[in-house]
Amino acid sequence: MNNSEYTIPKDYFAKKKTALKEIPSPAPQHKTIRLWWQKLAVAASIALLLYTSIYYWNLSEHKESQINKISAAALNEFLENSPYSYYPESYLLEVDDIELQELDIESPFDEEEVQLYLNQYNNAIL
Amino acid sequence: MKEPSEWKDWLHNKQYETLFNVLVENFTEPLYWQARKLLFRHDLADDALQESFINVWKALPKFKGEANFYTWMFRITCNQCFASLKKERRYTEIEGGSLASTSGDPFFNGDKVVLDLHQAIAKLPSKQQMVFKLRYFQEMSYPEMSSILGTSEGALKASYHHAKEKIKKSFALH
Repeated sequence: MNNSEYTIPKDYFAKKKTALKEIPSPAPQHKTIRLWWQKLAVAASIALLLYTSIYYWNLSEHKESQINKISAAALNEFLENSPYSYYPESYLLEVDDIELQELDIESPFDEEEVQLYLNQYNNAIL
Repeated sequence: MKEPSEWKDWLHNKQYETLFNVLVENFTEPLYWQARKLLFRHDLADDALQESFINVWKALPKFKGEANFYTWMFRITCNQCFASLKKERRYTEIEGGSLASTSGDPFFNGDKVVLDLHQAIAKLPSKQQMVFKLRYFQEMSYPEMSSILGTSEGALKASYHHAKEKIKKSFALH
């Protein structure tokens, strides 16, 4: 292969050498700064992750320990007296087990009036 | 060319910038022509040369100085040219770019036969191109090629054979 087939732009090598000699100047510093920032970012992420994990771990442990501090007697008393509390056994009752006659509910309506109303409108509804 | 011993002294004393400037001064031209022989086009050779010197600068602290500087830099340039060929090949396959590597190059004065040869070579897969160019144009030995491309000598011989046959076939069709 003959190099004469290939030409190059005027003053190519002189210009190229000048351009190539500029490679060293910014490169190492740039790389150092970039690496430094990368390391800092990684360290900050790890620190944040650690802090969050420790915070939530402490929070859950704190909650658990607070509940453990309450005595069984106090808890029972709360469950018996609180309007929002319930006995878990009540969930086990079947609807059929409840006898309506046993319910001692005072109705504001007179029983006869109710019966009369039902007799009057029962057929219309059905 | 026998390389001055002070170059390796600069390397061991970590005077990388001084050493790099000397390497630029001495090897820009020979490495450019090596790249040009492998890539044919001036723009591709220019890019490969630039990338090669960037790689040389980055790799200087890791270079132990066991080989000559020129041998080491030639290897880097060859690898860069191979990467460039692969990229060009992908471009021609995906984007439908021109395969004729020197047909549009204003810095090429070759006749039609050389242009046809270049076109036939440009149609080869990148590895075969590289092997053919190193063997045919640069008369490089298979052991040398093997150390540069990291391929076994047998595979290189097979690549060269296939490349030669394809080029022959391409010329027979013209």
